[in-house]
Amino acid sequence: MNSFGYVRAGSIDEAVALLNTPGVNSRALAGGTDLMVAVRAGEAGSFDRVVDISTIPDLRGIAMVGSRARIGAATTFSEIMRAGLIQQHARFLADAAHSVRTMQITNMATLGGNVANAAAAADTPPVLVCLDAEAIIATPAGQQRMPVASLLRGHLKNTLPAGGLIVAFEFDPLSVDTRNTFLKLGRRNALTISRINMAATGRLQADGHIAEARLVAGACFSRPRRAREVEALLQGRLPSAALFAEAGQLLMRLMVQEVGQRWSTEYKALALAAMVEEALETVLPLPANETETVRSIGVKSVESMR
Amino acid sequence: MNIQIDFTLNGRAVSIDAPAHVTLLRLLRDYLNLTGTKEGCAIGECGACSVLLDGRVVNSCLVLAPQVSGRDVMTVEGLAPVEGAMSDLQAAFVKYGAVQCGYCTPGLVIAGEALLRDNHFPTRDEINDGIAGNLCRCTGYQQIVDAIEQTARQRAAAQVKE
Repeated sequence: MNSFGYVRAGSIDEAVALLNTPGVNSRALAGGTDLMVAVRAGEAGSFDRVVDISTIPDLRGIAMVGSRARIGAATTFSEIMRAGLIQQHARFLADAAHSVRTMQITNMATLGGNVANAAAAADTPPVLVCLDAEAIIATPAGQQRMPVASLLRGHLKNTLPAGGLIVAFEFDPLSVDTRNTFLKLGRRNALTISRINMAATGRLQADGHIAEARLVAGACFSRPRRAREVEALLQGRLPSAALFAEAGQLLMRLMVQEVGQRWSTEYKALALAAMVEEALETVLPLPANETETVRSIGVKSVESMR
Repeated sequence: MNIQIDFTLNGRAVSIDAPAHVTLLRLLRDYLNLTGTKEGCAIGECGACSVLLDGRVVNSCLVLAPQVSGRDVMTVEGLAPVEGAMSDLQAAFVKYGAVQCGYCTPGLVIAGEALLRDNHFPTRDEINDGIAGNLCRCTGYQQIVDAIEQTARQRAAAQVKE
């Protein structure tokens, strides 16, 4: 294991100054659930010291700021799971945090860390992208805002400005008539890496047509992004099993187009299409005469194919 | 690069000099000789190294030792009310056969304790959820869930008597 030093930052300004001290290669440490594993595996690169940002009061907490919901970057998954504000306005973010399933990790892991680490299979970024969340980033030159979607560049790659530190995320709370869901497919229930995960929201007009649908698949594309092609297909239509099957097929084709055929594609493509159908059935309830749906393939049967 | 780490360990103030890059797990086992906390996978998957940090269960293999400065750590050694005795939960682990090889036991007792402090009347499903971060290769978990469930009942009954 590399030898390195430790310094604890007491404020955001101090953290940014410490992270940008000339001649010292510093690494931000929040929950440590990714960094400490990488350090042990020799995959964290070399650095001179860690700057502990996990106890900075201004980096923690969940609150409404004006009309926007704001989550401090060092807020833990456990805090997100328990927050009434998240349960009420963006329950699928709490569900994504809970999907990690082990208290040892959720008590330490932070939302900012999950985004900055940018693992392709990370569970909260698809939800933040689905919410069109913005990251607020502190840099030596001052604060700036970036959509979470453009912060994620690919597996373990982010586009944070040099020396920048994510301090918070902001998003518009979902309207009361917007349904939301988070789905995850993994090899077991607890502490599993997502093979595929999915965040979706949906809202119907009074006449039953689809007013808005948003869909983000994680661990499928080079980075989580809104599937605007699928969203456009759904817009203005009446929910139906056939429409949702079409949506699943479309996202499946888009995935294969973007990332190509891989060893896992045969399984993943079917599973992705089935998950799209399941997510859409949850967020865009079918008219009463359409409730008995026959899916092209159920997620359960995909599971048993392994 | 050594650093002085001052924290509360099992109710006592501790001040120790250690390299800044060691984990809390190494600090406990190699610098403080508290070997009850076990190293299993060392990458946060097995829960054998679980300790309570400010009352919440964490994997000590993923905590950097200096991160606990000024904070409260409890290990399996600190659970018993008096030294050499067992806590009610530890005694229940013995009574219900929840210990076989014993390697996962300290972590599971800590995770069980964290759960019971948070949730006084857990269902079996909630207990399963609470120990989802702890692997046991021997017992099949049922005896462990029994021990935690019975401890919850005993504590509830004791509360009623008071």
